[in-house]
Amino acid sequence: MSLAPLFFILAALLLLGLLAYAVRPIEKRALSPDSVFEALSEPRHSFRLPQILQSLQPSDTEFLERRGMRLLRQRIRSERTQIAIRYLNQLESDYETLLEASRILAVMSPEIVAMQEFERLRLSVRFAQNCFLMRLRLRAGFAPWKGFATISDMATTMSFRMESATSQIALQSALAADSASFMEERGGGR
Amino acid sequence: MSALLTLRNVFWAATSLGEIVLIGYLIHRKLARSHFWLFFYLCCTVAQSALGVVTYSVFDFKSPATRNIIWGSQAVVITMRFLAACEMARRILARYAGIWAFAQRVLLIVAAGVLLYTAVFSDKHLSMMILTVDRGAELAIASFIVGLLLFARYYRLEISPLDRALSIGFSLYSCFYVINDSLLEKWMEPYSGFWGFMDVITFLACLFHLDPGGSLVCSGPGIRQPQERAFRPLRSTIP
Repeated sequence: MSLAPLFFILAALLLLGLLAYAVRPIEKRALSPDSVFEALSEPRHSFRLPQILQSLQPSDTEFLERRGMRLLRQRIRSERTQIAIRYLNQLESDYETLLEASRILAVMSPEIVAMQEFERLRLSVRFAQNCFLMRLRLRAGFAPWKGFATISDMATTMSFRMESATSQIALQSALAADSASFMEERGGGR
Repeated sequence: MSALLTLRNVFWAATSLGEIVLIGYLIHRKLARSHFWLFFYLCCTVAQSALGVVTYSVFDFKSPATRNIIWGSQAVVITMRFLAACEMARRILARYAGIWAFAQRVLLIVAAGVLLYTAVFSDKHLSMMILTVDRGAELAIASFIVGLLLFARYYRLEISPLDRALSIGFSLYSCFYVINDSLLEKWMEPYSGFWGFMDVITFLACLFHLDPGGSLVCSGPGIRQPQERAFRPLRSTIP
């Protein structure tokens, strides 16, 4: 028995589902261009990474163990793990803002940003995957150093890309304005 | 059975009338130039209906000439629909040069990928080839348009109400067409008359669908072909 008709029906149903999703009204309010530039200039949570990593080092609380305050050490380590998870949430939130900014820049940009969209998509998938694994690691009590550094690097890379794209757009706008005024001057001189 | 055929012919006439109204609307609103491929596509669908009537009155249902003419015209209509979808994508995305450059590649790769996938997964029987190609093309068009709408949603781009209605109508029709064809191939061959009627109903439902605001929208997706009749000569070649 051929399964081809079933495959086609499933594919069509999947497309109908995607169509329903695509035409649904967007609930989340889009950022205005001003708020995007504001968000880009704000300090990133990734700058606090060294402190977070330091707080998660076992050596940072070893002296409590040596002094016989084992329970206190456990409590502090558990609290610090919670703080690290919250920090991870903030990193994700930063990344979301950068993604939102990238969307707006792609709409504003003539060609620079959108050509990197595939790369950004790949980066976003990796970022989400790393965050998920990091949460599991933190909860299981494994050493999170390498993973945290990767996530933070990704957020920083994204931020630099956004800044560079913004500068290029600004440069192009300035050049376009210059050439327009030059043409205007030439036209006026005749 | 004859009541069903009469009803189907009434609906067939109603859809042809709907297409003519849509052509008139495009001319009246001076949209024929900006929506050139859509306009051309609608003209082709009306011409296809007329051709169908002439063909069935001149040739026998099962004759090879009927099959060639009907399926040949169907190939033209599907090509026109794909061009109308490409034109719509250009209208929606071309204002954003960067996104457009990216989307062109992605959408064409998606459409070509679906066609290829269809070819790999389909029945390789020669007699089913026309149905397979037809269905694959519909699936590719639906993927292209749904991809376009997903792009527009991701970048929160504005879509004019006409383009929105068109894209929904086109994709709904293509998806239901694929489902109808697949049902026919697998289970409904003995009920091909009923299937032909459902095809006309699908077309009408997609031609006039409700927009999210609740108002009735005319979108002109695809002509329902005289499929039930066209299918007979095709099926006659299946051993």
